[in-house]
Formats: sequence, structure tokens, C-alpha cells
Amino acid sequence: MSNLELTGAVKRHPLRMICIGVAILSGVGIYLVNGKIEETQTLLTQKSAEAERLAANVRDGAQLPEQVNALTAAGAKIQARMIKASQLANNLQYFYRLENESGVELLDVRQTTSGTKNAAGGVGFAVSVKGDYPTLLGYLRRLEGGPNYCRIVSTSIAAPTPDRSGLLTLSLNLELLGQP
Amino acid sequence: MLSLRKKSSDAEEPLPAWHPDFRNFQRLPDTKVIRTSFLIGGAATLIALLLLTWVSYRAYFLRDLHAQLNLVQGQIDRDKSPSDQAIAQYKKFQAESARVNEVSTFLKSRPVVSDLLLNLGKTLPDYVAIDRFDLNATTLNLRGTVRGAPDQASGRASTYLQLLKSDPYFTDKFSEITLLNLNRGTQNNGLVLELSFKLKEAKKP
Repeated sequence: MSNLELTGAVKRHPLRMICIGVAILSGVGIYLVNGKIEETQTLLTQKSAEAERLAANVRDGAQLPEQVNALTAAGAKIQARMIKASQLANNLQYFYRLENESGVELLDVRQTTSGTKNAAGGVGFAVSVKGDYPTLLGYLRRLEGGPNYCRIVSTSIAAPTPDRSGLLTLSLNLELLGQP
Repeated sequence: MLSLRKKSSDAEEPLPAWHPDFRNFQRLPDTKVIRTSFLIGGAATLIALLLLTWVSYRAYFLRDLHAQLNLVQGQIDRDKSPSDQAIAQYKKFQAESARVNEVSTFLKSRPVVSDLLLNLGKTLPDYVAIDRFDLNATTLNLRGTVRGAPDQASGRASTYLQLLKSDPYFTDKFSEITLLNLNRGTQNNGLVLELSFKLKEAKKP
């Protein structure tokens, strides 16, 4: 269609031509807007998820400072109850003090491991004590519920004679929670 | 007889009208109520208006989406800093709780021996005396004496074993309790009893 013919058609049917123009422009507009809508909806979904995550973090973290403070305080108490593997004299003093308090006779005490190199862990001890049954039980109670965290790895209690007269011997391999 | 077949058009020329038609169609008035051009124009206008309405609606929808996006972005900007602080606090919380868990694991990895002895004492019948108590990484071995004549003592040993197996404390701590031995001892005052208790989830310390 030449320009002349187009001009003639516009002059003959101006309304139709305007309508065709509007329809073409609207079609292009719909195409462009739909693309933009899709893009924006994807972005909105992502941003909404991020906003929800951040809001959840803020909501869930409301009590965190208090909880962290409580845990830090607990951590400090734990730290205070841990022995230092390198301080042999202090560590052995603990067992001598227990002997004094519980009334058992300490036959032997040795630190068997030097503990972990850089993290908290069990520091091994081999202990032998002698006493009657209630005294040995009291000693064990003090050891397991005492100021240091203790776990008994192996133990043996034996009667000294077949007629069960005399004092019992308690041999322990235990670990106290310690740090280097 | 007349033929029913249609005659071909070029078979015979049509007859001329029987009188001349003097009507001037250009000057005659239009008798159509609605003209075709009006219908075409109307339809075109309707389609154009519909498309225009649709594009306007979609544009409004897009504008609304942008408004929502701005709102969400505002929320993000508002919560970003407190959220970062909460994450930092949570990392600190994890580090601190790890230490507490470490202690808990350390203590729970082995049975409490004093509790074990107390419970053995509680369940010990008069006719049994324990001579040796050995706890190692995975098992507890008990050696004792059951008083009485051999036939009576063996029955008592079996009763004691059932008693241990039905005790909630021991069933909680041990997966298996077995009688290893039941023999005459060196002294003639009963039978020597040997029991083995297998620790549940025995962990190597």
C-alpha cells in the first residue's frame, strides 16, 4: 500500500484507522506490560521471601540476648570447673583433699594423660583408695558430684580376703574435664 | 415427457425483462436501517476500546505490583540490621551451647558408678554377697556368693537374675544381663556367682 493509498484510506475511514492504530498500540502495550509484570512478580516473590526470613530472624531473635547472656554465664561456670592438664600439682591436690574429706586411704594417684592439645577434653587419672563400703561410696559420691566434672572410665572394687573381713580396695580410671 | 434435469446456463439465453427498469439507484433513498460501514466502525471501536481497557488494567496491575515491591523493600530495609544482629547473636549462642553440650556429653557417656552401687545395694537379697565389682568400657562384671545348699543356691541365683532383669534402673542402663558362671566355691558355704551386664550404647571414652 502506497502512502497515497494510505492517506486516501485514512480520509475515507478515519474512525477505522484510529481504531486500528489504537489496537496496534494496545497490543504492543499488552506485550510489554505482561513481560514487565512477570519480571516484577518474580522479584516480588523473592523479596517477599527475603522479607519473611528477615522478619522471622528478628522475631525469633527477640529472646536471644538474654539466652546468650545466660549461656555465657553458664560457660564461665563450666570454665571455672575445668582443670588445667598442665597444672599437675593442683590436680593431684584435688585427690588429696578428697581423701581428707571422705576418710578413705589414698593408695596411689597418677595423672595418666596430659589432656587435649587445644580443645576441652578428659584428663585421665588412675586412683586407688582403701576403705569400708560406706566410706568408698561417699568418696565416689564426692568425686562424681564434686567441683570438677568427672566420669569414671573403669573401676573395680574387691574384697581383700575370701571371708570379706578388712577394708575394700577401689581402683579407678577416671577423667576430669579439662583444658590444655 | 418433461425432463427433470436442470438446463445448462449457456444452453439457452435468458429472456429479457418484460418491461424496462427506469429506477435510478443513486438517487433512491437508502432503505437499510443500519449501514454496514456503521457496523464495521462500531466493531472496530469496540475492539479498540476493549484492548485499551485491558492494557490499562494490566498497567494498573503492574503499578500495584510496584507498590507492593516498594512496601516489601521497606520491610527489608527496616529488618536488615536487626536481623544481622540476631544472626550474630545466634552464632554466639551456638558457640556457647556447644560448650554446654560438650560437658553434657562428657558426663552422660559413662554411668554414674555411685548410683550403680546404690542400686545394686537396693536390689541385693540377703542370700547374695558381692565379692568383686568390675566396670570397664562396655560391661560390668559382678562376682559374688549365693548362700545355701547348691540346689537351693542355684534357684536363688536364678531369682536374683530375674530380679535384676526386671529392675527399671538396670534395664535402662544395660542391654543384657547374663549369668556367666555358677560353681562351687572354695569354701563350702554356697555357690560362686558371676554376672555380666552389657552397657547400653557403650561408648569408648
